[in-house]
This record gives sequence, structure tokens and C-alpha cells, in this order.
Amino acid sequence: MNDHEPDLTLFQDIDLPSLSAIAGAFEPARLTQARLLAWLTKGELAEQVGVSSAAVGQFEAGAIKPRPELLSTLARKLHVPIEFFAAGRPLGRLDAANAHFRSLRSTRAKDRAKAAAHAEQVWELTYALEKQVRFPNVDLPEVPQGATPVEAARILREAWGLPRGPVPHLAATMEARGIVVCLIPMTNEAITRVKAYSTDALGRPLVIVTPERFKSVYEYRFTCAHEVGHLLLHPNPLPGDRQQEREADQFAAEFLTPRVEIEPLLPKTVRMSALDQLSKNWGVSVESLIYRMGELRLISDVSIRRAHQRLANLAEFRREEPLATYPGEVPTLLSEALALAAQHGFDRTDLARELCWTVGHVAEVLGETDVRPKLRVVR
Amino acid sequence: MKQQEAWMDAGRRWALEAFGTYGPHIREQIAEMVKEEHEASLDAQEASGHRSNGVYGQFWRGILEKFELFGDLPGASLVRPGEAPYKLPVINGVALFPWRYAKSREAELATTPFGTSDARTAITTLRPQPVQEGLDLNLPDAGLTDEERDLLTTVQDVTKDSVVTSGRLALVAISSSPRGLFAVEWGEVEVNSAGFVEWTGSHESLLSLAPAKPVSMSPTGTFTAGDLPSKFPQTKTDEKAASSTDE
Repeated sequence: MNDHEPDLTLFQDIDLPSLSAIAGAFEPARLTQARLLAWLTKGELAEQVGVSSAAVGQFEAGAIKPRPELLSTLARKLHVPIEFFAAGRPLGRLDAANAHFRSLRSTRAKDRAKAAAHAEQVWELTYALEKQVRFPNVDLPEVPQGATPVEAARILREAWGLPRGPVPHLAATMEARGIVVCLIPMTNEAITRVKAYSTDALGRPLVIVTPERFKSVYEYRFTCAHEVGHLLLHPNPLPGDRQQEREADQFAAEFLTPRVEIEPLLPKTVRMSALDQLSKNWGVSVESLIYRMGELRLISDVSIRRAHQRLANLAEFRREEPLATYPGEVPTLLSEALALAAQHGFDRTDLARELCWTVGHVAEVLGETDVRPKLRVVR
Repeated sequence: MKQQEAWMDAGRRWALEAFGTYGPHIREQIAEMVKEEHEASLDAQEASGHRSNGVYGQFWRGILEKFELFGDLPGASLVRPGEAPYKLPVINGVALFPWRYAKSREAELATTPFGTSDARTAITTLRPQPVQEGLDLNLPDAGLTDEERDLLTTVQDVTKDSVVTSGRLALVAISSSPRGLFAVEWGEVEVNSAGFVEWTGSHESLLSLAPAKPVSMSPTGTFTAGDLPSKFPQTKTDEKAASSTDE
């Protein structure tokens, strides 16, 4: 690709000796991380910076180091400060095989690699903030080996001291128990193909979800609970394994709507008004409740099929409220930590400098949506 | 809880009486096998992408193949009922047959016809083939208590009596669909003249999930109710605020 962008960079004041120092301390894994985040293959990056694909491979393998002049080109194409490539900062390494992807079949390897790179950066952001602010301790109970998803859900409700009834403010509850929940807004094209994923491989459990992929807060809550199920039940992820996915679904259903509590409340026939009310109280979708009715054998398969058809017909009239309407469902752990750190003189500019990111990228990883209108060329 | 334990013991006892030393082992294995086959059939169904559930419907073939493993136990043999395309284990003179009788809530065991083929009819009169007693090689530990071994000796003495007839059938009755594994019950059955099965004694559920009992008739709160949980209760700012309140 041969574009004609002017050579404007954010860190133009870096002189050649500094550039040489960065090139000398070049960290190959940073190039891989930045390339995956830019959603480029080695060949695509090579073409953009004018080197061979093999050269990029050798840079990433640490076999050779890029010349100082090439570093600034790489930085510009990958939208990172040049210092980003320097070694010396904590680096979260996450193989995509160590994360649970909700729908592996529809998730391309390239997207998974990018999602894993993003999780690495969420971890690095968390790590940098943890040096300034004391985070909640991770509070996930041990689930005995061989425990069923239903048993695990009961163990977690008890361990977290949740009262009977609906789980209130799920994302906030997870965060208060030390799980980092992160929303990736729609601006990131590749990530939006990944509905949600989670990992425990970096020390602190991470759950990353793409809010726009969800039709409602109910579906979003189910996905969050599904990811907690993975964290509890599957210390060794088998990405795309149907059994693990089903177990996480069974966990979520039991955690959000415990059988002994929801069964007496479910109507004996598919009455949409009753299900709608239950859905609003319990924070689960009507679809999920219908599925639960089938699972508990309260209604026949024929009734379930009809109910889903009716729901599909009603869908276009349904008005969904944005996630922001539900304060306890929007993750705030990282932004609250940053606000606390700022009270002690460590603001987002300091954070960006420590991570060698742009301030804009810090905002992006924090899940903040850029509300500024996009500039477009009108002919 | 004590009642539950007593019930579980009764199940183990029946397994011993019906199948001998490895009865309790068979009982545990059946539950695992049915769950495994359910998962495998679900995988196949999902992978097929078919709208119809025909792929899952092959469940019965898989479960029959899994049950063939019991034919390796001492005193057991595999017998083909009639012209059936499958073999069944006959252990301790008792034939073991897995039957997925229902795929929806409407169907009930008592009203689902069993004797629908020559093979099914032949199942009720299966006799074990003469087999050499197995060597204790690679066999699972039967894990019996002394009390259970005493019981077993008594039962074996009785069943060795030539007056006692064979042709007993233990049924593993399964109700399942891609929506879930609804019921797995087992016990001894007889097939009546109308071709329906009837439990001859007590039968037992092999699913660990106990039936739900009503807990609450009114929801407590909603998912948006109550205060948000605090994430940073131990920060210096909070500690200062707490100490200033104390003063």
C-alpha cells in the first residue's frame, strides 16, 4: 500500500541519539502487540513500511533489530509513540489459546490475536494503576474438580454473599470482587466480531465485552455471567469447545436465575406479560426465561418454538435502553482507579507516559467513547 | 440429608443385588456414560447446523455402544437380541438396556410403547451366554464395604439356585433432547402383554440434580435495586473520611 500521508508524528522531538537508544533496547514482543492491535499481518505491515515480510518476522522473533529510521515509520503506521517499542516495561503475554472466546467459529484467528493483544494492554493498564491504587482483592471461590455448572453457580452465590433473588449490578459486583471488566466500544472494527472473552492467565481475571454486540442489557448480563462461569470452571480453556461453552451457559442461567427460586415464579404457559415482568425484575431476557421453561420441562418443545416465533415478530417493536442507563452494569473499576490516582497527582498523562501510549489510546482501553464528531470530507 | 443418604444406599444395594460385585460401579458409570453421550450428541447436532434434531436422535446408537463396555466385566457377556444391529450386556443374568423413551415433556415411560420390534421383544428373554470368569486384570476396584460383600455372598447363593429363573431386564430410561438431559432412571422392568414396560420394584434417578422445591413465591427486589458495591473501600481517601466521621 502506498499512501501519501504527511510524515506528521506525535513525538517528532525525538532526536537521533534517543532513537538509537530505543532501537538498541528494542522489544520484539511490542512490535507484535502493536501489529496485532493494528490488525495487520506481517506481510501487510512489511508492505506499508517498505521492508520484506521476512524482515518483519525477524524483528518480531528478535533475530534482528530494526534500524532507528525504520522505527519512526513503524510507530507512525502502527499509531504508537516510538518509545512504545523500548523494553523495560512490564509486558503481559497472552496467547489467544488461553482466553475463552464466546463464539470461536465466527471469530477469525486474526481477530482472536487482536483481542488477546488488547487483553494484554488492559492488564498492563491495570498493573500500572495498581501501583498507584489498591485494587479489590480477587475473590473467586475454589470450585471442586468435577463440580457441575449448577453447583458452581450455587457456590459463587454463597461465597459472594448474594441475597436471594436477582443478582443486582452484575458488572459492579464482579469489579468489587477484583475482576476487571472492560467494554470495547464499536470504534474498534475487529474487536466487534469478538463478542466477549475472558482470561485468568495474566494474574488478575479479565472479562472483556463489546457492548454494541448486545441487543439488551439482559443479554450483556448473561454474557458477563457466562465469562465468570469460564473463570470458575475452566482453568484450562479449550477455545471453541462446545462443552465448555454450554457449561458456561448453564452456569450463567443458574447464577442469574437459580432454579429453586425461578421455577415457582415462571408461568405455566407462555404468557408474555408475565415473562416480561420477570425479565425486568431479574435482569435476564425473555428468551432466556423461555429457554429455562423448556429446560425445566414446564412447557413443551412446540410451545417453546411458538414462543420464540412470537418474540421474533415482536422484536422490531421492542425498545432497548442503552447500557449507560444501568449504572451498575457499566464497568468503572479502571476509570475510578484513575480518578483516585489523579487525586494523588498521577493523572492520565502520567499513565500514558508510563505505558508509552498516547492519551487517546489510554481512553480507548479505559472504554471511553470518543464523543467528538468525526471530520468528513464533503464534496 | 439422612433421608437422602438412606435413599442412595438403597440404590447401591439394588445395584449389588441385581448385578453383583460391579453393580455399584455400573450404576456410577451409567450416569457418566449418559451425560457423555448427551454432550457428544449435542456437539454433533450443533456441528451439523441442521434445523431438525435428527443428528441428536442418533443418541441411542452411541449409548448402546458405550454400554457394550460392561460386557468385559467378570460374569458378563454381550448378547444380540434377535436380529438387532446391536449387542447388549447381560451381567449376572440381568440384561441391561438403555432406552431413550422421550424427547419431550409429554411422553411418559408408562405410556410409551416398548415392544415395537422383534429385537425389543427378544430383549425381555435374553439369557447370558456361557462365559469364562474374567481375570482380575485392569478391572476397576469394586470399592465394596465389608457389609456390602456379606450382602453380595448371600445374594449370589440365592441366585445360583437353579430354581431361580433368569431373563431379567434392567432398563435405563432416558428422557432428553438437545434442550437438556431431563431424566435418567434405572431399575428392573417387565414388559406387559400390551407391550409397555412397568417397573417391578423401586427405580432410581441417576441424575444428581434433585427436583426443585418451591422456595419463593415473590421476587425479592430487582436487578437494579440497592446501592452499588464499593470497589475501593480501603483507599487512603476513604480511611481519612472514615476517621474524620469517627471524630
